[in-house]
Amino acid sequence: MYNVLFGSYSVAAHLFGLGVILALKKRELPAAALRYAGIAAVVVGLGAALYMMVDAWTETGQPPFKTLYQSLIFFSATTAVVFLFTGFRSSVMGLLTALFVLATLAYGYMKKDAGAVQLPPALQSAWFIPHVVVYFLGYSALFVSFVASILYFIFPRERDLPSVQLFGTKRLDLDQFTYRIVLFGYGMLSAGLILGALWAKFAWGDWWSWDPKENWALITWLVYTAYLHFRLTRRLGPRGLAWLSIIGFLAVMFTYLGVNYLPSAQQALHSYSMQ
Amino acid sequence: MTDTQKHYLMSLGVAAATAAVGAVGDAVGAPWLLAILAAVLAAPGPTRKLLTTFEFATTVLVVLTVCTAVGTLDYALGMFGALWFRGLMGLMGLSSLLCLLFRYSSGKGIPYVLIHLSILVILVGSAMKDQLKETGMVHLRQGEATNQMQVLNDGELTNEVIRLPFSVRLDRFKVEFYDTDLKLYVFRHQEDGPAAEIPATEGAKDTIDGVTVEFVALQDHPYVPTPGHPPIQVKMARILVDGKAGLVLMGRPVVDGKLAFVLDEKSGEPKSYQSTLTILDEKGDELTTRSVVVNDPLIHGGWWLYQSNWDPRDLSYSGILMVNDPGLYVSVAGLVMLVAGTLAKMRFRKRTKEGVLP
Repeated sequence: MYNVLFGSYSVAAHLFGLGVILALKKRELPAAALRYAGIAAVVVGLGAALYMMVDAWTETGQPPFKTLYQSLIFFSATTAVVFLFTGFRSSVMGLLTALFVLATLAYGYMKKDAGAVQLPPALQSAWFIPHVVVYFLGYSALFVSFVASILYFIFPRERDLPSVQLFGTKRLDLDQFTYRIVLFGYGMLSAGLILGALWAKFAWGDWWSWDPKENWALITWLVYTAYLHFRLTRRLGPRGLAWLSIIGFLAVMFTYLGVNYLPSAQQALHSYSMQ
Repeated sequence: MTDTQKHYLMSLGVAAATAAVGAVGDAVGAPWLLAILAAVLAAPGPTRKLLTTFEFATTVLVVLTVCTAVGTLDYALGMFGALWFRGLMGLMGLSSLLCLLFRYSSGKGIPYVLIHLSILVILVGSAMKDQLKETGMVHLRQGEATNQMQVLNDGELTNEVIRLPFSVRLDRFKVEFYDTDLKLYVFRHQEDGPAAEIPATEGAKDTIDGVTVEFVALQDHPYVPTPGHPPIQVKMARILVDGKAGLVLMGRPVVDGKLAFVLDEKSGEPKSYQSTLTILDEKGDELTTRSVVVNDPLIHGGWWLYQSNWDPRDLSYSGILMVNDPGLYVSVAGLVMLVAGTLAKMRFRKRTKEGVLP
């Protein structure tokens, strides 16, 4: 099933890539057809990821988020969902999403633990699934805003595009696009933070313990808080905002993957997916 | 110098002064110095004006971000318990409050109020927690009751023991384990621990020093220990070592080149710890009985009782963590306001602009 998952995103990347080339040549109709085919391939990939998760869940009787491999498969699914809701009109977004998911899956495969995992008592909680789902939805949305910010440096001006297939619009305004996605991602970060805090109160006795993962989740939240202040007051131009959004997503990635490598992570409460 | 630059410089100055006052407060044991500073800053005048500027809000956000990152790199700095860091957090709350009081206009909407107020409420709850929270451990053996709690300070057990307004009795303690698993252990020549642990499931594999070891199947094998002895059924693993077939009998090491293989059971990890607790009042009357597991504490009169410790050598022992945090519901109210505010902000945009989705 992993091969179906990886294969469908690989097919999607090719379809979107070809679609981008044709769109740049103003071949509107074939570009649109390729984009729809790419969307279909992403849907197949999403189905494969969901199948793998349900399969793992029924086999072990535990939510499939315990190992890094499992959480990355889930990450691919939430990235696909966010793309299907927000970026599906854009073949550029499709291409970048497919490439990102492929990189995620390849990394996850390298870190694959064989066999079923036994969930420690601290993770057996009703808070677990909402906490993880909300965070991953947020992370996926912020990935989309990160991509839009990088694209901003390539297409800095509002401009007319050769084809509506590239970004789903005739006029490109990446700054506005980024802002809307960040707002959604920020809502999810806040909700995830709070779900985590309440869970921590039930599991560890304190809703905030200055644990490395908590601190980096706070840092991420503060960076996006700064982004929203600068955006809403227009104190920073689109260039500066694009930089802030990029820094924000780097903080997201560090919170998710980097915190385990901190020297202080050894006695950290959140180090479940190490080994 | 432009006004904006002046504001940024002055904001950094206020942050530095707050940290300094906090450090002095820590050194001489006078946390109330921060309260005086807050009153001075919020009094009508130029500092109050500065605290409502955009430059001040973003300066505090950046300073807090950098300090949190540094404090996480090295916990030995003890930053998160230090008064100067709390002072900086307090500045965020103070600036939120002053913006709300002096900057609010109806055009900003309810989300603006909720979000900025929530920061203040969360911080008030945290300050209450810092000042008033009591934590400790109650050590119990099955059948025993006690009202003695060993005090915890910053997560460390102290020698101080206090009396609780009620007694806790451990009626029963139970540990459940996951099933034992069969594993193929791979050892390197002359190395103590196993280099790899491969689960006994079809297709599981691992690579050790460039050699790929794959588990093919588990079978029962008739084993004849001495000639004439009736065969004993023994578990046997069929494996592939770099594509070459091999057999490993349960409990009998097989050496192949620089690697050795052992098929053995791995004992299961703990699945759950469960204490059945009864709360007794001072006269010894039973008030409530409930079983407590990890993630599901018992709540009694402000105290939260957690399953927290056990002793593998004495299965009648259970350690119960006790927490009484009077600021909890204040903080939770703030957290809920924050989420409500951010979600409302998303809705708000959706109605006024052409929609969140492109």
